[in-house]
Amino acid sequence: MHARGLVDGQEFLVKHANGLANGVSELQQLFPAGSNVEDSDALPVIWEKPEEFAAAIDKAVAATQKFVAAAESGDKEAISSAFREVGGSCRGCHDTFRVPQD
Amino acid sequence: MIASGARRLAIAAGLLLQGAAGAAGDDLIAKGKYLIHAGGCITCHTEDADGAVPLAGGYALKSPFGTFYAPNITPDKETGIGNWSDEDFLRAFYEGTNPEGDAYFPAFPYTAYSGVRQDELLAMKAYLFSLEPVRKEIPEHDLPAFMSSRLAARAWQLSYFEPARFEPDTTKSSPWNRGAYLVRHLGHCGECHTPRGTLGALLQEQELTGNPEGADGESIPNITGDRKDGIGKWSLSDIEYFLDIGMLPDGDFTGGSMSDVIEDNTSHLTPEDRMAIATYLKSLAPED
Repeated sequence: MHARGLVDGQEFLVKHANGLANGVSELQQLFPAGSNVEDSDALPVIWEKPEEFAAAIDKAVAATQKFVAAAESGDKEAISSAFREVGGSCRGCHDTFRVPQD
Repeated sequence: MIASGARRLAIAAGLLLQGAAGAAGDDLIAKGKYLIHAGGCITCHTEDADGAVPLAGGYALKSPFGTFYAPNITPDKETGIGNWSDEDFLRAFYEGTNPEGDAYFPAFPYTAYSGVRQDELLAMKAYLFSLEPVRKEIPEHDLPAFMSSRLAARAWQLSYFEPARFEPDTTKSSPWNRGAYLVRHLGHCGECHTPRGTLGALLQEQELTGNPEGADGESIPNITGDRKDGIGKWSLSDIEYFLDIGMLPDGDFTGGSMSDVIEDNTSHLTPEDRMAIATYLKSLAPED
């Protein structure tokens, strides 16, 4: 809602942009070799093509950092375009590395 | 001197004419480019490989009926559509046949495309013909024996293909009608989101209620206004934003084939067209 410009609240947006960036920055550590156990939506390709997976996460990390900067600037255009990039990086990973969701 | 001056004048006049035609042509090409996105052409006509040239074909569409390889639709004269006339192009969409008169399998969604306006189809052709020709041979479809001939496609057409013309519903709003046109015809959403009968014909009475056995084994969701199984709880703006960047109302981001549709098609549309699509989808009677 905030990123879409439907409601105002810059402080709130900055806080959550940071939360997002912090969470995403740890993604790289969440899928170590051997973590492909039990029922999971993670596809085996994560461990088969670790370089591609790491590159996809790098993209998400960069996009969320840019989103934090945009949120801090308060520029609505920049916020919207940075969030679009975040979305693209989310899809970039979910496309290839996650079991399609119903 | 006089002769050469006259020739120069003639050339200058010719260039002026060409310039004028070029300007009109640019508008047509821009319109065609928009429609090529809205028609979802890129998703199927581009190979799923790094560095694949858009629209040069080669994508393998794995269906329960076999694997179809999408053709090269760049204007290469030998491997693409460079020799096609306007009539050839229109016939493909309105009659489901290639320039030799052979029937296409409905993997090419002419059942939906036959409702697309002629001026829009010709704009799409103008855009395709403005592209760099790409020489790329496409493999033959890999189909079971009973479907291996174009006659099978012709038999299918005789049973199931009724060219559709889009007739606006004057009792509905203009966004609704625009949305209906985009969803049912140009965007052909039902090709994935509507379930199919045994021979692959869409079950239109279950329009957009989802297809648990979609291509590539993907389960395709219900996108009618049903509040439980469909998108009845999504606001118009939720749908518009989803089609723009792929975010679901719960903040998750879609993956799978819809991600390609967003990237190649809906994210390129105007917000008004995305809202029109949302308006039409929300209006569909809830179905289980």
